[in-house]
Amino acid sequence: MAKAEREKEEIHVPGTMALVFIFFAWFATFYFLAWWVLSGAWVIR
Amino acid sequence: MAPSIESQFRTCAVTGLKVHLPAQRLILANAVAAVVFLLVGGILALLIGLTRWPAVQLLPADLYYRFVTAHGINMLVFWIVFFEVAGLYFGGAVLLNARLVQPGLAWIAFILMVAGALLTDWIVFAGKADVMFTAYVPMKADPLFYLGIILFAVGAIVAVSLFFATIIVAKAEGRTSGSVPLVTFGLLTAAIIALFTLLAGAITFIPTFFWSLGWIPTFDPGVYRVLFWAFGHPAQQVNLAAMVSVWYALTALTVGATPINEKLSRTAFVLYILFINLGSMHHLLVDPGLSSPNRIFNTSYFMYLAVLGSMIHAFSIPAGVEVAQRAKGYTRGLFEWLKKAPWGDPGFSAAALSFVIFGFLGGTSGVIIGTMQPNINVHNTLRVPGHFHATVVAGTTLAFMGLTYYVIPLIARREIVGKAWAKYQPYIYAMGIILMILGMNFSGMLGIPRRTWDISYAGAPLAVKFPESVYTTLGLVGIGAAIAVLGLLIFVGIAVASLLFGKKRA
Amino acid sequence: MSLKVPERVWWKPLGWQEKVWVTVSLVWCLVLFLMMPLWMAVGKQNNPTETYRVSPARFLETASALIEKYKVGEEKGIPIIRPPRGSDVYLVARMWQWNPILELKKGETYRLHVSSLDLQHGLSIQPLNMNFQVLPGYDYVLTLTPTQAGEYSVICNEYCLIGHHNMTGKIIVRE
Repeated sequence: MAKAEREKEEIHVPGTMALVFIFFAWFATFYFLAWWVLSGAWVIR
Repeated sequence: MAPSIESQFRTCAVTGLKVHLPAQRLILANAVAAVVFLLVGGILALLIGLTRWPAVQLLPADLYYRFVTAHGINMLVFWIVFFEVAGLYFGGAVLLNARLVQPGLAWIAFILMVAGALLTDWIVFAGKADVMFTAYVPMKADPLFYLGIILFAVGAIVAVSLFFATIIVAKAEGRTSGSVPLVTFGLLTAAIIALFTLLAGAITFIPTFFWSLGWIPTFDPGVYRVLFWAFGHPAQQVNLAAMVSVWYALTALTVGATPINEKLSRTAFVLYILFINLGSMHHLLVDPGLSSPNRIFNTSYFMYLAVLGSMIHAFSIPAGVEVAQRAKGYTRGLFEWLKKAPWGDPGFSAAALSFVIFGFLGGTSGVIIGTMQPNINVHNTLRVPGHFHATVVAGTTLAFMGLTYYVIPLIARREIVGKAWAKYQPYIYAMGIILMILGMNFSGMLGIPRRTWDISYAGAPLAVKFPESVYTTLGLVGIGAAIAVLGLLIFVGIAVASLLFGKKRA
Repeated sequence: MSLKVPERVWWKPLGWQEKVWVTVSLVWCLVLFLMMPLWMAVGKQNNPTETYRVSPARFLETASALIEKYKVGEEKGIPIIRPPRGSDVYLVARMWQWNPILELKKGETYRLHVSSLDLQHGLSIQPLNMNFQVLPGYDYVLTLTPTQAGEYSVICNEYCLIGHHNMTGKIIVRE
């Protein structure tokens, strides 16, 4: 199969790409926020 | 094939599927039982929610703890599992054009489950088991409480086994060939997880039953927690796999979505089976007696592959919708396909809201609070119910509600009564749940404990003072719960009215 | 369509957009794992693991002896103890009280032993919001260094029957 033809066959979902990266940004923000909150707690081991 | 078998089938006018009539009756019976327990759990939810709102504090302390126990069991076990059994019979028999093997045994399973549920509810409401859903030993309930749960679980194991047998027989009889449909595949993963979940439940509850009878003198509380969560958390992964299957089903039914890549979606489901069971150790992150390597490995398997599974579905489900919508000509900009989606179809809106709330609030919060060190800030606070109401209520329950709007016309062959109400029902329910989840999460961040009747500690010898803002965030919990229960009652009303009075379909 | 049997061969290569997302997800899942060992190496808050078997009677005996020894006062009938800096401190959980009230010094490290005499309890220090599970039969040792002075409430956040919402205690941290 020629390269151009294969690309045409590939499914393009730009909207979904935008949505999942918004989701990823949200996930990472709250994940690291939890670590930041923890760093204010008493020292414990 | 004998003609007498063929006479047990009808052909669905909408989907062209051949529906096995004994399977159809069992799907309906289990779905109706599910909705009845949903109603019980929903009324309890309202009472509990209004009790946690300090300005109202509706119930006295003893009833509050009793109803939290009953709410947990009715919702998390009875409603969900009855509906899942209905889903398994649908995915196993109907989607494969096949017969459900041994319908008689399926009825025995149903009766066992109903008997177990009624026995447990009777003991709980009689005040003989104010022990919460978790029933942590050495807190002891009436032996019949554990017996009820065991009966229910035995019924569920029979139902799950019949689902496996149905798929095998469908292939053997040549009613289906090649790979099973993706939805059936997803339900199959749910059923496999369900099987080891229920076995873990047996290992937990049978010794606990013996202990409550005095046949076993002691039961180590640390060991109980390991065993209980080997049952308790995988049970939620059953809900997860079933919910994702329902998302695929609903996006197919409502916009004609096709999985963007079958290999990708199926691999993601397999990740759930392989990388989820020991993950339940995240309930024990601040328990005595466990080492750090144990905690880290068991919660993460070095790389959180179950989370990877969910992140794949998070891509492939909207991608399937986007492709289907773009094929219809909604190609302008990034999001025309989304704007022009059938938002007035409760099957679609329920799936979409379930998907978004589960992803943004449920799944992410689960990973965060299940991470070893940050769990110190979260364990047993209201953030924990804040997490699982986003997964199992806004996620699973809402998705199942959406599917019901299709089960009623396709399986019960009745028109939906009150379509205008049905159009708004998912939005009302989702709005209530979101408010409640946010209220729970904010309250938990401020330190408010879960399962506690009075956070003003008015009766305690030493005063406890929380920041004033907790009265706002707990108010949000009460108001959100009330709105969500309103949405739930509308759903139950539509379902019951449609089954009883809906116009019969040809 | 997800409800129908797929075509015979569905094991097909991924498109580039799927590959991007799967790669990002996989790397992220590795980060989620790596943060835990990394924090163990450099972070100051890690989950306690030190645990001993102890009978409730034995735990109460040890705790009572220390209360006797280091008692400096009482509040509402509950003893207040001021243990030596860096010593072993015992906190008893029972239906429905945390005993004794602890008076600690900021910046000092204590070995705080917690255990229950009856049911499971939840040690929850507020408004700090640090939470630990307390089980009967297990002596759980939290090696703890208070980093801020002030009065902290201790509540129970594991349901322990009808008096659960009356189970409180206190930790005082002095400069």
